[in-house]
Amino acid sequence: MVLLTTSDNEHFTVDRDVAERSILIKQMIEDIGETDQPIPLPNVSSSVLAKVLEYCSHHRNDPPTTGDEMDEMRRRATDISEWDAKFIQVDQEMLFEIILAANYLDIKSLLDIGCKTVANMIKGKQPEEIRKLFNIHNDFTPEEEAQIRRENEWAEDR
Amino acid sequence: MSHAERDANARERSNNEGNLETQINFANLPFSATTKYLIQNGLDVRYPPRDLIQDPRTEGAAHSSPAADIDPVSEYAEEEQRGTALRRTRAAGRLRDDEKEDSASEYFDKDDAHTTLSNVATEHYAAIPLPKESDVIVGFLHRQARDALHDVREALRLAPNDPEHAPSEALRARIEKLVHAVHSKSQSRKALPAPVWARLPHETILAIFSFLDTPMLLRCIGVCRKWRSLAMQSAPLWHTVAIPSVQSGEKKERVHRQYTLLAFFMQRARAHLSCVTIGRPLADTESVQKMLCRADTLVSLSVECAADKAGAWAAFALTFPRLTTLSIQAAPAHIHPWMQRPLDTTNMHCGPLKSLCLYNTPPLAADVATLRLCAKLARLTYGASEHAGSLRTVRELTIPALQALVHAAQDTLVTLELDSDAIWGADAFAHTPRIAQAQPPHFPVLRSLQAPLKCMVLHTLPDVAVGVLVPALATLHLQVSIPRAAGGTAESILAFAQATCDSVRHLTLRITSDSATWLVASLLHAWRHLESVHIVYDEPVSIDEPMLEREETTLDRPLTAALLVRLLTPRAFCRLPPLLCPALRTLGCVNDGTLRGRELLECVGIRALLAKGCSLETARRAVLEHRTLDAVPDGQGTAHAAALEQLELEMGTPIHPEFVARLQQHLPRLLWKQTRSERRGKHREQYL
Repeated sequence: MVLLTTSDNEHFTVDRDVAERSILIKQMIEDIGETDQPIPLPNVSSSVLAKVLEYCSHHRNDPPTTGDEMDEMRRRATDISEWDAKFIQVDQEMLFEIILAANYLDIKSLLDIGCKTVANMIKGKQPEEIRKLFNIHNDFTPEEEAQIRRENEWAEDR
Repeated sequence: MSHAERDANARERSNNEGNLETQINFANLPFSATTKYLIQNGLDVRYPPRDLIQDPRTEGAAHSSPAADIDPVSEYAEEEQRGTALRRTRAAGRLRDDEKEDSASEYFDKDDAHTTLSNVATEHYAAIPLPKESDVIVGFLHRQARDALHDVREALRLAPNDPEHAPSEALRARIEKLVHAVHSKSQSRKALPAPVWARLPHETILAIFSFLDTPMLLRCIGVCRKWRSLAMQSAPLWHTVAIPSVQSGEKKERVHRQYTLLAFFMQRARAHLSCVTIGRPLADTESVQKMLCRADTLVSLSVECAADKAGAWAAFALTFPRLTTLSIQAAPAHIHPWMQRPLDTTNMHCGPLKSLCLYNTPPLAADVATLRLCAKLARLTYGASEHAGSLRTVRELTIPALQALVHAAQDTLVTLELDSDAIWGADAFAHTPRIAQAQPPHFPVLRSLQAPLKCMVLHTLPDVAVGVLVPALATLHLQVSIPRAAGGTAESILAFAQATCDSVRHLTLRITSDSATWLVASLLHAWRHLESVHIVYDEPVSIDEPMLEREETTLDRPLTAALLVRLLTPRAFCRLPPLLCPALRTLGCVNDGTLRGRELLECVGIRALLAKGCSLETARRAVLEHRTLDAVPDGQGTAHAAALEQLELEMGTPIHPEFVARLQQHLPRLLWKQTRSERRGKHREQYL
């Protein structure tokens, strides 16, 4: 069993194989050995960690994938498995929190699911729609915008 | 540690422990930190700067900033701007020289922008005296409200870890007040309170981009500066280059545009170029092959070219050592392509191909080199449009050659698309009795195939003989119209459906106003394990009348996409068996201007409600009366699992946003694309 402490000082006790889906935790355990001391996760809040651990325990028996295979799989499709798709159906705030946590904890498959979900949200949208969706400020000058529009006309004209 | 954290920590350090570390080298920080810093201090982040005069808006903003009186930074900003103006002039001069050589000069991002701008930032930072902690935070807050929110939040989060430098209660209260003020201000303007993107590390944003295709990437670089610089600087993102054919305009200008675009993409992709698509008229020029010849990383090449260039392209393509996918589609020529000399494969450097698509090109010979080239093919497409010429001679040439190729690839071939009068047609074999006797009449090539085909694209109606030869067929693209009347062809396709009923899972159906509704219904009944159906419908016809309200809809009506969707809605069609395709998960409609949004919503809605256990009656009432699917009554009824999980729409007419929003509530995935009318009739492409 591994004891984890979140940024809001909540404690989580999980099986070692679940916790070790996170490369960060796995390496930490390898470095310090088995310990009763809690592992602090100052960048993850309890609500997000609960969600991440839900993912980890569902995928605890997944075989580890090699880098090459992963790359090939990633390139192929933006498909997300049924369970994962349901799992990642959260509001935007939580989605980004999960992505940040997956990045920090180094859980590649979860990070990929998060990124794929965001990519699926972007797909088919115009720049203005994307800005609206993610609340991004348009910081181009009007001349630059005209330039970008020209580029895109070139590329999309068929 | 991620970039964002490093960024935040660096700033934190500089605020709290200013005595220990008074210098920041911006070259060591992410580029976004540099641009953020420059923007926050009212400096010019454009690169190269257009002119010597400071953008009046930027200057005005710096002066009118409410922080100007309490922030020591802006006092120095102007002086610094004057100081850097000279340097920037030099940089701009150098760049203008570059532009003369650079064909893609119109794109304003440059690789050395990073270096120059970080130098400007570093020098600017070094020139300012150390501010007090509270001043900096307050200053940031006023100038870049949304970024400041992020900064303050970070600061507050990190502060408790460091008791020595923890902010005082008074400061905390002040920050809270300001956060609240900015928060409410930004909320009134936009939907979301915090810039979520600002917190993502760069590599994560790039990971998100890596799941997008090139046209979407081109849109993304038009979203904001940060995205633009990130995407433009990441070569692996641009692994795929597509320069499609351009029909309209003067040829010279078209070539120039395509060439510039190719140069732009190749400059982005550098050593990561792996997939290239070149269209006409660029593909007909000599220069494009010279440009591509060093792209040793090329894995996939797809070319549309003139008929006389096809042979040269094939010889050129086969010199790429890593090539596995090749597609050459030539324009129709006067003489039949198969009457030409076969493609030269003797000088090839690549290994066996995985995918080969040849259209209107000279034939492949059945020599040793060609057979080696095709030994591992998973997908073979071979076709030609109709031409004058002796079809009989062509057939005698092609069929044995194709059989040899298919035989060579028998262990790996899963997709075969043969599209030519030279291969198809019942009468084709009447003249060649030897073949006709030895093999089933319609599909001689399949006879030599041992590996079970999983995917077929058919340009003619198949019959039972074909069905028997493809017992593992899972994906079927029917590119022909379904016949209107009962008779020989209708019976033959029904027999084919019966022969393949256990294996077919995915179907693409092209329907026309001639298609018979009863026949399609019977086909769907036969293929009972279908998981996805895509409807292609590209005839502009009049809009359907609403059908759902009417209980009776006869099978004699001409088929439309809306009617087909209705067919797939369980038990909405009384004269049919209860449920067609119970396993259906994905429904796609391509290019259909006649399928109206509301009707589709209703059909899909009924299906969704049935899946939740409603009786058909309740579901229909819920949908028809309330026009909404929000209130789902708990009915007991059909036990059919009829959940539609994905709806893909590619339509020529826009759908009402409200409709899209409603659909999204009930479908885990909705992919919607509005197709431009010019692209109609180009569906072939998606199968190639």
